[in-house]
Amino acid sequence: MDIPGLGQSFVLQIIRDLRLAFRNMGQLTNPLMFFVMVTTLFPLALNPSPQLLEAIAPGVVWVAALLASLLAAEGLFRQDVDDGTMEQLALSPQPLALMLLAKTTAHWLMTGLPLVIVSPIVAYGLFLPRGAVPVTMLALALATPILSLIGGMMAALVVGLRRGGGLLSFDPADRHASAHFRRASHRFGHDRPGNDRRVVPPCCAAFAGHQPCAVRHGGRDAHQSRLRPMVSCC
Amino acid sequence: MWKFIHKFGSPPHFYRLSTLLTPWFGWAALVLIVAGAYGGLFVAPADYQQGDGFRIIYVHVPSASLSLFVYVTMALSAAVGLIWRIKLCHGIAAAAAPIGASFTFLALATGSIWAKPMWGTWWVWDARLTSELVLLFLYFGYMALRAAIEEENRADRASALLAIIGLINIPIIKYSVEWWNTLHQPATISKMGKPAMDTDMLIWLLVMLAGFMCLFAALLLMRARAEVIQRSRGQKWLRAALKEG
Amino acid sequence: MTEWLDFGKHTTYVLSAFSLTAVVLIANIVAAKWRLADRQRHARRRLAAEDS
Repeated sequence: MDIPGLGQSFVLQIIRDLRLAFRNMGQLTNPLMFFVMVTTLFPLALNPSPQLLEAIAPGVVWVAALLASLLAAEGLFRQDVDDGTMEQLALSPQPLALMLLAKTTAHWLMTGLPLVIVSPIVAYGLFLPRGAVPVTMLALALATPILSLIGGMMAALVVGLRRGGGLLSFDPADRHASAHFRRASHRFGHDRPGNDRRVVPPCCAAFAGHQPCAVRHGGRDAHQSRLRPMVSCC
Repeated sequence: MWKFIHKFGSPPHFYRLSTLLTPWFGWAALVLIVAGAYGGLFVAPADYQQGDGFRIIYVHVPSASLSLFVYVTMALSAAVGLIWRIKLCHGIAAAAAPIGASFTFLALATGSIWAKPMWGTWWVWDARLTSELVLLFLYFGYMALRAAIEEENRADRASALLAIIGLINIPIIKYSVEWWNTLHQPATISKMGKPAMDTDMLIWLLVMLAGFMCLFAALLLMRARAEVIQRSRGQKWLRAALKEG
Repeated sequence: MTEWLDFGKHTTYVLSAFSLTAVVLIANIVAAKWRLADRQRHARRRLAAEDS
């Protein structure tokens, strides 16, 4: 029997996860709805004046995206661990890390990408300056995959626990990512086109540095967590 | 009278009744909406203040009214189902939700399109718009809650409670233009007193409103029938009913 | 033809509002019909399977 190659099995895994997710459409839209609801809560809770909203808009969009990703991350591995698919993935000839990267990519396509697409509408409601919208989308497009990876890592650690969902918020990596984003959005919020390009590469590098670490941890722990639930802060 | 309600609450009778009524409501809706749209676009005179832009009222007001009406229908139906344990009512509430969400989306979208030439912005955080947005979230929440719970009875009860709790939003939307200082104009049609609009403009609004109501009835009956089929798995009457079509 | 659809400076707004409404309402009708037909098909298939 022909064993599919690395590229092929990567794509097949993504397709499988997407197909499974689309059977449960209601669950799919939860992170997106959460994102939209959280961003609309801020003008309601605070003063809906354009000056205030313009000042806090980048931060609000970031926090809402972060929270929505955390919400979505919890379900990343749970179903597969529960029905035994994770063991099969671990035993298969394909490297576990690659399969988990495929699962995380499919997860991002379903939860992170919609956030990026919807962000201009939300940004308009929050009076984000027009010039900053493309940059916000780019920043979210870079940040949400990272959040999926980091979230996946944390989800892998808590998947074996019965009530581990709340622990997902204790992730220092999120703090780092938030600080980078704040620095970037602060620059873009004020119209200084010259500085834009220079801030993006360092942010990318910082985000990218987290990736291999996240995938490796996620892979090993998703497999082991069935047998030995771990509680640790990375 | 109780016998009628009892009959109505039984799925086979409801199924047969809705199969009979749907085409009537459907065709009535088509005629009324086409007539209303034609009248609103071409027959009604232009407003002296807003020019032709005001014609959006002919889609915006019916959508908004229906969004509220459908929510009340949904919540009352769910409440009846909860209190008197009539399964069919939960089915009707579940069928009404996506229709109501569509009307709410239309109200927000057409309102936004109207706001751009009138107020210069697509969106503003004023009381009525914000509470209508909350209504949209309530619809989505209802549908999401229903989808998240596997067991039918628990899903029915949980979403019914959510719908009932959300009822508070309806008076807030309705009276927001009176209670708060808002950008949105006050009600065009009120129960007491003269309507704020001329008759030759108002007539088409009422036609469109009636058309939208008939469309809601037709859509609700179709979706409720689908729900009844889903819930009546393995029941004897279903076989004969399906043969009839 | 185009003068008939002319609504002054608000033409695009009026037409887009009406067409959006038409699209959403027609989509609703199509979706409701499809859903009903789908459920009926499934039920008929299940009943046929039970019979045989």
